[in-house]
Amino acid sequence: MAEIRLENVSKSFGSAKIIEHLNLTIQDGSFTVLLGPSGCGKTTLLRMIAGIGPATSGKIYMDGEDISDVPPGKRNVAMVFQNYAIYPTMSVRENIEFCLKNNKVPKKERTERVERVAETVGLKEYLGRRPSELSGGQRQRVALARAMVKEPAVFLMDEPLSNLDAKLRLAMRSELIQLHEQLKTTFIYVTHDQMESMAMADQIVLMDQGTIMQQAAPEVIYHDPDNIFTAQFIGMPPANILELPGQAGSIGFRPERVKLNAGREKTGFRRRGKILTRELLGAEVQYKIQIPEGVVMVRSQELSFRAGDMAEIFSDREDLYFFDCQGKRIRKDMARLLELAEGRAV
Amino acid sequence: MSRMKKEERNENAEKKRGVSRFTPYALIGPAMALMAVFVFYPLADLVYLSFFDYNLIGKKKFAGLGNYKVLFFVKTDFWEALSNTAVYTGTVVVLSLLLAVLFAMWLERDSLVNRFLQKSMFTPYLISMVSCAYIWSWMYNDDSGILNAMLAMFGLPLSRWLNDSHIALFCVAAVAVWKSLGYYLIIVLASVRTIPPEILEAAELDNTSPVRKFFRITLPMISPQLFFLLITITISSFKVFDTIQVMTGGGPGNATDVLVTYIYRYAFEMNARVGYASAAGTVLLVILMILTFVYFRMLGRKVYYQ
Repeated sequence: MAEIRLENVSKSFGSAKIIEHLNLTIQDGSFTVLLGPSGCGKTTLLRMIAGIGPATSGKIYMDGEDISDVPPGKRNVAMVFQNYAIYPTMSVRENIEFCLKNNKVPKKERTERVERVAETVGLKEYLGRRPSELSGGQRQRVALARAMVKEPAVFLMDEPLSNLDAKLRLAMRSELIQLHEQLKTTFIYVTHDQMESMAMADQIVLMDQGTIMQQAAPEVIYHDPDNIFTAQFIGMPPANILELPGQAGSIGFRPERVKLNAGREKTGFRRRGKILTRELLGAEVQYKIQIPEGVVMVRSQELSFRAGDMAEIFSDREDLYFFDCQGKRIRKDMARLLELAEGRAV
Repeated sequence: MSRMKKEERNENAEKKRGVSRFTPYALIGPAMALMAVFVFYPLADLVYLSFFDYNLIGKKKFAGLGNYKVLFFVKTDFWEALSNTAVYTGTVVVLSLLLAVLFAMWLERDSLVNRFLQKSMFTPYLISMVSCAYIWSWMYNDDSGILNAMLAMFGLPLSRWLNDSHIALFCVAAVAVWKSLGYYLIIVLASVRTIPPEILEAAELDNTSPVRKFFRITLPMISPQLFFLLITITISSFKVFDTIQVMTGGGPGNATDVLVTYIYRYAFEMNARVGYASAAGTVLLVILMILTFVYFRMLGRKVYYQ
């Protein structure tokens, strides 16, 4: 159990500045997901917390204690690597036990802890095996067990599920959530998969180019984005962003919040457009529709439209986001913008 | 069923092109003929001659196992040569591997200085063995050698180097190590650098001390390459000839006499006792065959990680 606080940290590799003056607090016991496109600095951030890629400047605190200069082995953190980083020359048992041996844990306790963890992750029958004799999913579990056996204050995970096939990934995803429920320790989890982050996190830290774009609970990040980047990174397909006339900024709405040929009684964003493509997703259809301002994506349960049909799209004023020219969300004085958006509609 | 048809069709096509069953043999024939003349025949002849008394001029006289009896039970110089060879091989193998690993750990980080050092260490490998042997003979020289000059400069007792029967063999072994170390270093370094960095990072997170990290992670992970080196160095050391011949000629006394110089001496210097030398050669052949067999057996075995 620990709270992690990063204060004014920067990291550069040679002349390339990856992270500049970043501040972040990760709550004790939270399942925090560091989310962002590749190269945004999320893994760099995780490695700084682990201590294997120290910050160029700034401080890192764990429960208020400065750990910036503490070596990784003494930080009371455990890490699961993307490619598992299992010691290939050791058996599963030796892999899990290695850290305990290094820390001079007595043999009896060691065996006990290894067996308990192996039981939890379902590796009990495989303790004598070599990593090369295990499947991808089993190796994943070894990596997890190796982290768990330390009973660390913070779990760090660097895209641990990305090398698994889709089915196994879903299964492991819920197991990790369950594990967090059980252990109640701080989990810091790096991924570029926004679906994964929504499913697992209770806090999402969305990053882009070394800066934090928004830190919030998944529901908030989804329903109440702070900026265009967040609105477009989260959601499948991303939110539609259209420029407002007269440099006033832009308007955004989620594809799944659009109604097709709705009644005229409500106010909001309303346009007629031509359906360009139609993709059936099962219960829903994804339409690509050409409207005067550009192309928008719509997800609808209305299956009857075909490519080439004309349709009227409508998004309730409650569901509209307004952004200024810098891409920041505007939360006040939206009446004028709404008029601007509705302008040509009615 | 379909496979049989396919094979039949292939056979038909081959017939059409004039490919008979003997074509493959005809194609490898020239190479095999050369092998037969220059490899298989000499080997067979070596073993054959070892059962005769023969001096290249006179008539061959069948001696049965007589040569071997003399080799192993009458004369003591063969045992001496054999043990010298073993000591030499052991010294070269241990020093080469130890230094190669140590230098590899030192030069592991890729930097300009390290690259320069690595290349400098490789240079002796490019020089011919005989040149090295001559240069080192001069450096080892009692009176005019640089090594004794350096000892004198620091007021240390001088050594007789190659003329001292206790250390002559090690002096020669040192030259072999010096010459090939750069090559071994490249192999070890390359394998050290293939260790995924995450594994070492994971070890750091597991609070592993540097020494333990080396013995529990690095060393096991480069062990296949070390094993390869172990066998190749052993085989080449067992065949050592040029340095010894140039630097000591087997002396002082028989202190640096190894198997190949022993064979050479009996075959070409001491009344051309070719039969006797062949017997010694056969022993060397057997030793090398065993080593090669072990080597291939181990090489064939799957390495423990993917």
